[in-house]
Amino acid sequence: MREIVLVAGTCFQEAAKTAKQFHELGACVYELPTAENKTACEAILKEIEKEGKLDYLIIQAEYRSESTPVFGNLDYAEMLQIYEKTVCDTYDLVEASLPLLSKGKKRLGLITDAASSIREVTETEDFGYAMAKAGLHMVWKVYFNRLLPDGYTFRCFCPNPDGCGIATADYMRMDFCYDANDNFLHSEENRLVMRDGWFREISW
Amino acid sequence: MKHVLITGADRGVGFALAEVFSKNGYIVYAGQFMPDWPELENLKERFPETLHIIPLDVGNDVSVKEAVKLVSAKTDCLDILINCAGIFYQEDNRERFLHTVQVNTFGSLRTIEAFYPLMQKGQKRICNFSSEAGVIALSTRPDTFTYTSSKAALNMASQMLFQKLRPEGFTFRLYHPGWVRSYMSGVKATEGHFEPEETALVAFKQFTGDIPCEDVLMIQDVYNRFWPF
Repeated sequence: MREIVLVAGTCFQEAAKTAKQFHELGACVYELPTAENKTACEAILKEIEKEGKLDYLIIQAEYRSESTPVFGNLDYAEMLQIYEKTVCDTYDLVEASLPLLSKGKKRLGLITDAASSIREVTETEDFGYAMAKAGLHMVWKVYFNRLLPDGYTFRCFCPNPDGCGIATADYMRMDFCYDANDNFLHSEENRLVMRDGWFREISW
Repeated sequence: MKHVLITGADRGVGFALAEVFSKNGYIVYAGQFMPDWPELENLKERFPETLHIIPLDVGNDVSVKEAVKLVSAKTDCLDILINCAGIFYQEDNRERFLHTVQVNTFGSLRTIEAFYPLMQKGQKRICNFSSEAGVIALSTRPDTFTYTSSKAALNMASQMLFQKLRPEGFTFRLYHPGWVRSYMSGVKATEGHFEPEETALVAFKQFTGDIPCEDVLMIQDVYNRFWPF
């Protein structure tokens, strides 16, 4: 049976590439340039409803400051906009997609950025981008906590900037060792982990 | 005498901190968000010379800038800045996401940024109230997206500030106060493990004392245990 995939954030390069990869793998791919436009989100989910299910929801939200942020003159209105587009729009799209996901493979994938790990961040100016990313990672973790008991699985992937290593669509489709009765020590699906294209674990 | 600014000092842990710092001989600038709440005024009567009430809404650019002017009129040096102001919603929606991050996250960053010039001549210590709720690695919460994401974002802001300001001699504290019977959701909680006064006493010791290494930012809790991000 053909896999149904919704890739949101195809205005960003990696999400667009991922949509193409899924298409080449034979999936039926729906694309949303951004989760910002509510009408477009509703319309595409209505379209997917005709398929009867959604197997993968893949999201990229990569909003950076358009101005050059300088500590001492930070733009809080812009930071709030970035947070809204990154965190709130993602939250709303996941909420709206859950009924369809519940009828499919139940996999949620986040395309993110290794530089947005709190421990490993090197950024010292674009607070809006980095804070929104941390907030988004937490939203992903809370969804993981909430939906894991219902059979959902989660991916949080940082593609290598040079394109080497595992392709994003391949990572999203990979199944990991799983035992419902085991704890995360022996069951990779029982914990949320962020990995890069070399399958290296990135600390949060 | 050292000078300390505490945001969200009206009640709960912020108020308890204002009291413990006052008792220990600090000049306290107590950020007041709720002028109708009487506790701070009562505390001012006990410490008329050393406690200064400063109107302060950390979610508002103008209010924070006004607060800087008021504190600057009294001192040219701030030693410790404590970001304690915070809100909590049990239910999640867009409006609450934005309100919570505006106060819990941007509020702390905004206050640090605004008071940064005044801190240059002082002890240069920045103390943020974090939470286990903001620890992505160990989170087990299946709800409260708004609060947890705001605290994760605050941890990120703290790490970025740490990288930026540590070379200038600033030191940082990230404190997890435990489950406190506080006013986070608007009324005093009846459930919790600690009274505000109990966790404020531990916070005072951490905020004024030493840690094993100032060159790594870590969250430390009310039991003095360290947490990852």
